[in-house]
Amino acid sequence: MTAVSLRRPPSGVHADPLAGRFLGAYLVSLLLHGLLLFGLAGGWLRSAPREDKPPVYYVDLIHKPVLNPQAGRPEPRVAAPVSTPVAPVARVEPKTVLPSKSLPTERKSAKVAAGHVSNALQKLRDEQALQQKFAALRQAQAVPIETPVGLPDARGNEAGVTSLVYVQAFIQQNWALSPYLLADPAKMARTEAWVRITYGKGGRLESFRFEKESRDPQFDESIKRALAKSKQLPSELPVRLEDILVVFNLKALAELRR
Amino acid sequence: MELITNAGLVVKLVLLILAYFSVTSWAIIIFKTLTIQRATRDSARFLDFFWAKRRFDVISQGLGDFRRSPLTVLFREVNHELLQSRRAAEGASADVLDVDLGEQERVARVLRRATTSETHRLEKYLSFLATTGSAAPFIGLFGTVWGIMDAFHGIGKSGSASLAVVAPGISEALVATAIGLVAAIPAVIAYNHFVNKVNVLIGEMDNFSQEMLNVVQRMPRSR
Repeated sequence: MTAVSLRRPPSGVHADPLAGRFLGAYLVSLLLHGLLLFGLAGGWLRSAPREDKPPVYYVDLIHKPVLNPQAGRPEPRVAAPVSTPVAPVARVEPKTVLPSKSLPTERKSAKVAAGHVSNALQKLRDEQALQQKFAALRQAQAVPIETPVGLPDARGNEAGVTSLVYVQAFIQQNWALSPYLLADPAKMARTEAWVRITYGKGGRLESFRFEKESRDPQFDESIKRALAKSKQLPSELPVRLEDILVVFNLKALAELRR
Repeated sequence: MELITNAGLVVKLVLLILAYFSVTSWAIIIFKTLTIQRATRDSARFLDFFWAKRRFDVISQGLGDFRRSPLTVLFREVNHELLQSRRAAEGASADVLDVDLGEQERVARVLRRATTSETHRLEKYLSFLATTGSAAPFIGLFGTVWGIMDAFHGIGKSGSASLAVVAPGISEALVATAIGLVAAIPAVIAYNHFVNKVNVLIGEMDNFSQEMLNVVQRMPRSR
């Protein structure tokens, strides 16, 4: 047997000069993750709160603002108050009892009896007044109110409706448009047409002309159809309306359909 | 944060595993960036030094300045082998040509072994990055599926399918997939980057090995 001397390869081949630094890299990584977690928990990376969009105000072409919206629908004007025949109550004169010096308790009981009678009379008068009010309400409810507040016959405490608003409301009621056009919000925002209209005193449409066209033929046609339907108002006008401006826009129509 | 704290036990476990993957893969990314950067820099400097000095004894004395370069390991191994061969040849009575051929073979073997060893060292931990890149999204997806199952179970129990009931459970479940992707994406990018860099270094080692063999072949024999 020959002896063979074996030599292990130098350790430099296997030794990694940076192997000890892996632990350091691990600690750095842990630190980074900890910071990230802290940031997430602390809200550093949360997006800033979005600013609310400025409010959009819609101008209602149909309804004129009422003077006191909180008041609700006021009581209707009653032509003539219904007078319910009420039997006249016989005035009962309290008996005057002469006080007797010897009995003070009797005087006291007489005063109490007079008070009772006057209370009963007051109660009776209140009941009569209430019955009158109920009768008036029943009469008011018997006639249904179809007209919205702000228009004639609405019987509200509105500021008053001009002929112009009345005409505008009537035309808009006759105005119809494809629901597909209304479904497009972008289109709804920009489509608008201005029309100058003249109505005679008898409520007949005399002329109309477009002051500003909408550039949408379908939309303009719908306006023409609405005007054709509105050529005669249901009632006469107090004055002749010459060249009144009516603005047609999809927003208003959408509000109307709502 | 509430999304994590309100999540179920399985989802939390999944998140913990993903956190481990993420922390380790970032540690590897930091470590490998330093290792490969220094190896590349030291290799370039060592090659300049090697071709400037030309003498093996002088070069071996200056190896300490290029410790991070894999080429220094190759040189050290060859130098060591040559010294051993010379010592063995001095005592033997073999033919000079046989000794010469045997020496070249041994140097080639030593270079191959050293190259393999250095390649392993350079590629160390890279497999973890590959595993993270491929497995983390699936682990996250598992957490999400489990969380959604849990959420639907809760909806069934409560008997209400409103958005207020459905949405929180699903958003908590989706956190797992998000964290899985957060762990996987850097790992995949780093893995591809490091593999490319290591391939460049392996190419340099192969070139240096060929040059070393040539040098050894041209060396004047002592006998």
